[in-house]
Amino acid sequence: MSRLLVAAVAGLIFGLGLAVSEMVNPQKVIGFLDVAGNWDPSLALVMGGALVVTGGTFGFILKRSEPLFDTGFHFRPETISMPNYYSALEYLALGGASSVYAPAPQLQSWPMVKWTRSGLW
Amino acid sequence: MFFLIENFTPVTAIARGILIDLSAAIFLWGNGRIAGVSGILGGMLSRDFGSWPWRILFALGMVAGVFIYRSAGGTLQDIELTSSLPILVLGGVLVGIGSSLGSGCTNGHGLCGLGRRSGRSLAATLVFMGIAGVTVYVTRHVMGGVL
Repeated sequence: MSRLLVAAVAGLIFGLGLAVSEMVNPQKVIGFLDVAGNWDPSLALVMGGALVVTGGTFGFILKRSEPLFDTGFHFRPETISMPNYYSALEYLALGGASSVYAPAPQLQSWPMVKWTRSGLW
Repeated sequence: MFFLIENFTPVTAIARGILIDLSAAIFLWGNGRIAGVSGILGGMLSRDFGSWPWRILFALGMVAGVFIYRSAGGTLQDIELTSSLPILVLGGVLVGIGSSLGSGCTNGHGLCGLGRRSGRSLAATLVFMGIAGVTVYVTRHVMGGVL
C-alpha cells in the first residue's frame, strides 16, 4: 500500500514538474536540441538544477541498506556490451528527435492535445 | 547574454528541475526504484503483473500533475504536433527500442543515473543528447523540416 502511494505521489510531482517547465511541449524540447536555430537553453537548466539536488539526495538515500518500503534497490546491472549499447542509444536519439518526444512528455501530451481540442479547457 | 535568447525560461526550468528531483528522490527513498518513465512503462511488457499497479499509478499521477497545474491557474502554451502521425509512431517505436536496449531514457539516465554517479548513464546522456542534436540539425537545417 505504501509502495503504491509513493508511486502515485512521485508520478504526480513528476507530472507537475514537466508541466511547470512546459517540457510537455515537444517544441520546447526541440528548441533545446536545435542549437543552430533559435536555441532555447531551458532544458539544460532543468537538468542542471535537478542534478545538483539529486547528486546530494541520492548519495544520502543510497547510504541506506534498503529503501523504506522494499527489500532492496532496483538498478539494472551494468552489463551491456558497449557496441550494442551505443547503437541502442542512437535509436533512442533518432526516435526522440524525429518525433521530438521523450517518453514522459509523450505520455502527457496525448491526452492534453485531445482534451484541449475537445474544448474541455 | 542569456536574456537575449527569447525562448529561454530559466525560472520555470529550475522549478521543474527541483520538482523532478523531489519526485525521483521520493521514489528512490520509498521504493528503491529509478523514476525513469521508459523503465516504468516498459516494465509492463514483462510478465511481472504484480508490478502493474504501481506502474499504472505512477503514469496516472504524471497525467494528473498536468491537470493540477492547470486547475491551479497554471498556463501552458498550446501544444503543437508538427510531425505527421506515421513519423510520431515511428519515433515512438524507436524510442521504445532504444530506451529498452539502452536501459533508460532522459530521466533514468540523465537525472537519476547521473545523480548516483553511474558512468554508464553519463555515457548514455552524452550520446543520446549529442545524437538527438545532430538529428534535429539534419532534419531541420539540412532536410528543411520535412519530418
